[in-house]
Amino acid sequence: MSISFTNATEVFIFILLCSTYVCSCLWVYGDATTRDLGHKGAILPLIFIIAAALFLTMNLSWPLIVWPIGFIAWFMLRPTATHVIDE
Amino acid sequence: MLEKMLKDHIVAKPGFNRWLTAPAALGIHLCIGSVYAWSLFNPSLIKRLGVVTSAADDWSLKSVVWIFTVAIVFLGLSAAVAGKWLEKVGPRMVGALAAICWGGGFIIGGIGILTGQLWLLYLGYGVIGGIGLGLGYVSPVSTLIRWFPDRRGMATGLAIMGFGGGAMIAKFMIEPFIKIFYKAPEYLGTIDAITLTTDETGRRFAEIAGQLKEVVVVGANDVANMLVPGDPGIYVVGTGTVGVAQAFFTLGAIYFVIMMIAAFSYRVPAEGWKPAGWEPPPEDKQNAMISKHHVHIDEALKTPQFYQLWIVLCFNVTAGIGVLAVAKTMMNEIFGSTLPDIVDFGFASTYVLMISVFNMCGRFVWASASDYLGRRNTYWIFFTLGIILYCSIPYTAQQVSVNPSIVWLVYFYAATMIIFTMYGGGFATIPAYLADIFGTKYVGGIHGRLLTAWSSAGVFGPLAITSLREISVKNAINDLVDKIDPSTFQVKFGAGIDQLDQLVAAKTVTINKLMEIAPIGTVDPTPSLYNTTMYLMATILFVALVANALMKPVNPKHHMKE
Repeated sequence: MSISFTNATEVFIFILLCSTYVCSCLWVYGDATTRDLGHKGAILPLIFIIAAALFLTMNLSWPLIVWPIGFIAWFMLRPTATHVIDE
Repeated sequence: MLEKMLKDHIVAKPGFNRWLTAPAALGIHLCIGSVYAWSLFNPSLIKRLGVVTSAADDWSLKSVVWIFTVAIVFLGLSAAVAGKWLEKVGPRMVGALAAICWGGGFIIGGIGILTGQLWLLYLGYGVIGGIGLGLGYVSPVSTLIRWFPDRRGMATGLAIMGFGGGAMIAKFMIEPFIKIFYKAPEYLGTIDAITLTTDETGRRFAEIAGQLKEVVVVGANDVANMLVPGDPGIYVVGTGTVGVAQAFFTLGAIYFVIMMIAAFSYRVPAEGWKPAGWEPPPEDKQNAMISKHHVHIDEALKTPQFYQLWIVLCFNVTAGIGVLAVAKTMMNEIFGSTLPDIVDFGFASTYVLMISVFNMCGRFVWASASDYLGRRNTYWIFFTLGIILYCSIPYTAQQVSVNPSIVWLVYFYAATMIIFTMYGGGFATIPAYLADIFGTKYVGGIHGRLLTAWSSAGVFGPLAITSLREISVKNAINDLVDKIDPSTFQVKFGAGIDQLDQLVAAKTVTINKLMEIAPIGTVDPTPSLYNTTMYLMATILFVALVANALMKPVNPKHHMKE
């Protein structure tokens, strides 16, 4: 994988974006589990991660497009019922 | 048999000494911490066939260094996935599986080395071994926190200290094992005495008893790089053994046995157990950051606190990787050239050893101190002190190049060692912080998922460091070229400034070579090459500082109902 940066600000933004990306995948997974989607809930974050890795090899801007689309799609498609897991 | 490994079957009887769980946890972490010694295998792996020097079909360094990164990525992924399972089955089952994966990973990796299958080495050590790392790392955390509710930080610091010290112990096993199993290849004679032929692929052959056999040539300058000292001359490829596969098998067996004994030593406290005479702190304003409630693993992922702690861990590790990556180079390049009487090879080697020692000690000291300081305050110290120290390092490097005084060396040494203690301390204090925020019930599982922060830092941290270094070198070269007369440049490099990019790519033009033709009085930019890295790391720490400062108790809506 080769990503070229021209200055430190770009590197800083890259780190922030990567962190946001991973955290959003974790959040979607947690949200899916508390909506009783079980293992199916893991599929969307997995698609996010694989897509990001694939797109990152092509161009830095591609994951930035994929991520918000996937995230908005999740908000539209997720089940409405949620619950706090009890003991 | 398997049932006896489950959580319900390992509940300690009344009167069990809780301190007996600490050596078990430490044992597992010392074994898996040897992953940090991966670089010790590299010189042998790239001489698998040639033994005395690399043969044509030997693996390149570039192809084996990524195995470590794969292992760290799988550490985070397996810890994240297995965290929930850990809370269900208990630490013994997870610890035993960790022993199988870590020990088995070495065995599979060893088979890969013997058979020359690089993918088996990646699968064995990187993937399966990496899974063993993740399982082993999280297995004792929640158990220790439950045994030591009065000193959570000290307990987890004790275990995670082992991870920092594992590489030091591994060093004393890996090198002797490789030497024990090493077998020098067949020596044919000196270079002058043997007639060699070279084929179209560049391989070299010698005729032995009417047959052409591939050989490697060890020149006088290559002797210093031999694993075991030998004579310069011609050696037959494939007739010796580098010993690394056998070392893998031996280490795998040793780690498996130790980790199994440790896993079978795990005991969990009975429900509701607490140390004699200890009462949980009252839930008042003073102890607001220590929750008495529990948050489920999956629910924790929906709280902002989880992501704040994710940032705290990830950015602390990224900044630590940043300084780890450049500290040794800075010591050699900057202080080695300005204070050569003090900073010699021995001094630099001791400095590298001290990095491991301070990293290890920081894990125990800072985590134990957090029991008294409070977790948020401990990280507040890490980040504020860290920002000051990171920002001061460029000034130190600049000053020592202008005024070579030992004061700057002492300051640099002390500053980097404090940073390394905080790097280790960040790892060791986070489980106790999680227990304070999310309760102790699922802390092992939540900790496992938080370790994705480590995996992320392990990937994009080095990526960022490499990029920053390239940017700094490029800028420094451009600045120097602007000051140099084009005709002098043409004479020195045999090409014009218009071909600068190609000359830099071919390593024909470097900062040192440009300094040779730079006008008198031009300041050498080498000490300032790391400034951007240090300032960026300080900025990253500032983001972590804000995330930590905004930490509040979890909203009660996320608490589990009792």
